[in-house]
Amino acid sequence: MSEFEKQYEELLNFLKFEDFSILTKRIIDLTLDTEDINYYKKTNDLLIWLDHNENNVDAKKVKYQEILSDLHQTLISKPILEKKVLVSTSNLQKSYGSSSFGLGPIDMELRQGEILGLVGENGNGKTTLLRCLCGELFATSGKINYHFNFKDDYHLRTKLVYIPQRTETWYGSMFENLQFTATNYGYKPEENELVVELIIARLGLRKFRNHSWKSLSSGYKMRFELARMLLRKPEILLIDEPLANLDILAQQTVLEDFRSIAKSPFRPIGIVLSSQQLYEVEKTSDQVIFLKQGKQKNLHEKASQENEVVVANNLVIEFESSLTQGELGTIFENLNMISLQFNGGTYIVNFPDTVSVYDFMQLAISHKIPLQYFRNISNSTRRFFVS
Amino acid sequence: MFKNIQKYLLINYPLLWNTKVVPTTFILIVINLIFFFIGLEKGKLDFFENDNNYTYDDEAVVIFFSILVSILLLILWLVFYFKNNSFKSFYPKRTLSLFKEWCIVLFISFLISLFTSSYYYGKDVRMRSYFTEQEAKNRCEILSKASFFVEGSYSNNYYDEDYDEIPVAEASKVSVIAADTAVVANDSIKFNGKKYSYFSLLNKNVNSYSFFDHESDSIRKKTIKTWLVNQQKDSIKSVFKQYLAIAKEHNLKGNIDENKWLDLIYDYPNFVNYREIGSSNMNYEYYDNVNQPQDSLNKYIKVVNGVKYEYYKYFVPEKSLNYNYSKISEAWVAPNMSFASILISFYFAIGLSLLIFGFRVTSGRNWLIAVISLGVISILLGIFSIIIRSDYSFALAVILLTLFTFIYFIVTISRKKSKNISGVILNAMLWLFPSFFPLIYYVILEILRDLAQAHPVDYLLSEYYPAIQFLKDYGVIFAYLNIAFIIIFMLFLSVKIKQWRGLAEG
Repeated sequence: MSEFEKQYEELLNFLKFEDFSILTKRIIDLTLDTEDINYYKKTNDLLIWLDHNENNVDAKKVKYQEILSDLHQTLISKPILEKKVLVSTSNLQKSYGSSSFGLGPIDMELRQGEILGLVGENGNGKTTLLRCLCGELFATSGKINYHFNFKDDYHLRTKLVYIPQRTETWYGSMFENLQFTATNYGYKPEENELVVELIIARLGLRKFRNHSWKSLSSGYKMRFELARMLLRKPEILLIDEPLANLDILAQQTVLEDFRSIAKSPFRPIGIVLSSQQLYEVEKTSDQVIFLKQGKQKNLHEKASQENEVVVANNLVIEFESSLTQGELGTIFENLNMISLQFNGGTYIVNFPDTVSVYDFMQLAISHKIPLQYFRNISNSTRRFFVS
Repeated sequence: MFKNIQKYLLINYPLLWNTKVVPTTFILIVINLIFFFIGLEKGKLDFFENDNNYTYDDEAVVIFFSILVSILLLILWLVFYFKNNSFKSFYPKRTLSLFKEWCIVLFISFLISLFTSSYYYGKDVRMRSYFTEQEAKNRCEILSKASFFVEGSYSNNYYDEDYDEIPVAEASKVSVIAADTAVVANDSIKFNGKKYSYFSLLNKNVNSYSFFDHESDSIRKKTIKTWLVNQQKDSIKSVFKQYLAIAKEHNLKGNIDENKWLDLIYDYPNFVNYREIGSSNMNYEYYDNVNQPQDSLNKYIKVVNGVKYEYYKYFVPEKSLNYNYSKISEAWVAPNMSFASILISFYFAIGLSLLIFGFRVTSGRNWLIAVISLGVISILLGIFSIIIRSDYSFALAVILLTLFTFIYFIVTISRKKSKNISGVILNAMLWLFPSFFPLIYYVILEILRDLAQAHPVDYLLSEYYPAIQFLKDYGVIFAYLNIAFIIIFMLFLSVKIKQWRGLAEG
């Protein structure tokens, strides 16, 4: 089963369970995949129809089914391209003159359809790495290799979209701005408005199309930037702290959007994002780079390079409990506990590799340990934060 | 209408949409037309006006408003133009895209700077509209000839061709006498070998018009004098007749006809006892003066409310005709709007467009630092020039500075590292390079002048003088050639700026 067919199955399930919101978004994605103005019109017609028939579930299902079948018929024959490497760095380093801070060395590789998460505490080089990758900063040493065609540095930078944490102010209406972007990126006049409508709907901005920058919340400003990015069809999206100003629900929506945008079977892009929301990033990303004082730390079972950390197969559990450290230590002795740390309201307990998460749970149940929360962080970069 | 046009441009020609060139051009053309029509109205001649009696011209107010409107419209346009910047956002650009953008900015800057010129052009057009150039010239010829027979000055014998035969030594002697005795320089003139009194009609001047040069005026005077001494009364009368016809056409009146006029002025063979014809029927307040008795032959005194006024007994409307026809001839020969004067608007527009373009392609911070840096450097160079007392060291320093900015900018692009301070340098280069060739021109001219003045005999005879003359004669052409250079250089530079933009910021 091809990537597209898998995704199509997923869409049928959304329809079956009447999850219309996400279904609409994914239909828009498929519509844009067709690169066919007739489908742009059809899906736009559907969106207009939906505006007036929100509660007519049966009719909605029929409409969705129709358009899904049409899209399937067209896209099933469209070739799915092999996922190529987009960018790789070797020994990338960046220093700032007299400043003691230096980034790197960084070695990484990003392919089409992949999401790379950058995590680390503030001031450890996440933004610097993003800015190096987007061409805003030049590497003091080492190399950044872009594996796609470009004529010159300017042309390269048109293919790399960097969205900083504080997005720049724009003027005029959102719709007009997006149309301007679309025209600059070569959309034909007859498809311009249709594509912008689709992308606005894709990012849930339909109600805000004529709003100005000032009248949008931070979350919607971020969505506007994503809409603009979709029109720009970049090879790589580099985005700094996209979750910073979003509520928990919006964070999940944006991350889901990233996944579906990156993993489009026909128009895959690479995404590099930085965030403090460690678990959310780990959940979404295909690879995670942890930066500590500018140095890269990867989790590997065997260290093949200097910047890789050997991870013993220890069991590391993060949890919250009302018991004291002493009480917990006595209990965990039963599983040959290696260490128990109290860290900012949570405990981190380290067991030998012979202990599994089930052993920990059994012990917790048998000793009736009050647990408000627990998480196995044995394979999470969270370990770097607490170690 | 504009909304639809802008909508069309937005999805077809983003650069035209972003620069708002269509609505802006329309508005600017309309305002230029308004100023042109104001000029047309202001250019209307009132033939009853003359040097002593004219309506106050509120031209300064019009110019003030034209500048005010220019500034307001410029700000308004910039607000809309700066709303979007695809270049700063790294949207795809064709090779010539930036150059086209600059051309549009230049075009709008030019239209914005034309309001005053449109006003003056309107004035010129209105004044020229009265008569064709040839007709105006013919009329001025008649007026000039007739002015010989109206109150006016006597010739300055030093510059009159009739006195060429007076030896320099003799002329000097005459001057010495004049200084010592405070009487007129010469008491006689010579014409066709015959001596006439200095106050003879033959020594009168003609009123000149822009159509004519000094030589042409002299020839005209000589013609009239020849008519007088050859008793060609008909020729003189014909001039009077035509003159009075022109006056009548403008509803201007004298109190003599051509026959009377001829009778009054024609005093063959010595032309001394002629009557002075007034140039208007205007009165002059009369004060009793022992040294200068009242000229009761030509003038009379009328007492109004206890004040004495002196009037010419005979007059023609020369003052009004001369006042208005001088304006007409000026409008034809040296109009306010000309090939040379439009240069000012061109250069102003180029300067303005480069200021805007610099801001557009770099950043507000770079732009501001460049303004301050150039200001400080200029002050320092100015002080240095004053200290070393050199005429052209400032210009030379600016030429070197321009070269430095260019080299720095090109090296920055070739090194392909970071931009560093090249944003500031780029702004400085954009503002300096238009003056590059004019400054070279100025420096060469100054050097040649210095060399020529060091010539042992005479400045004009020096071997450098022809080169100086050549540079001066072709100054306007050089200025236009420099505009061509600026445009070509901008073509090259816009390509380089695009490459530069791709460089890392830090």
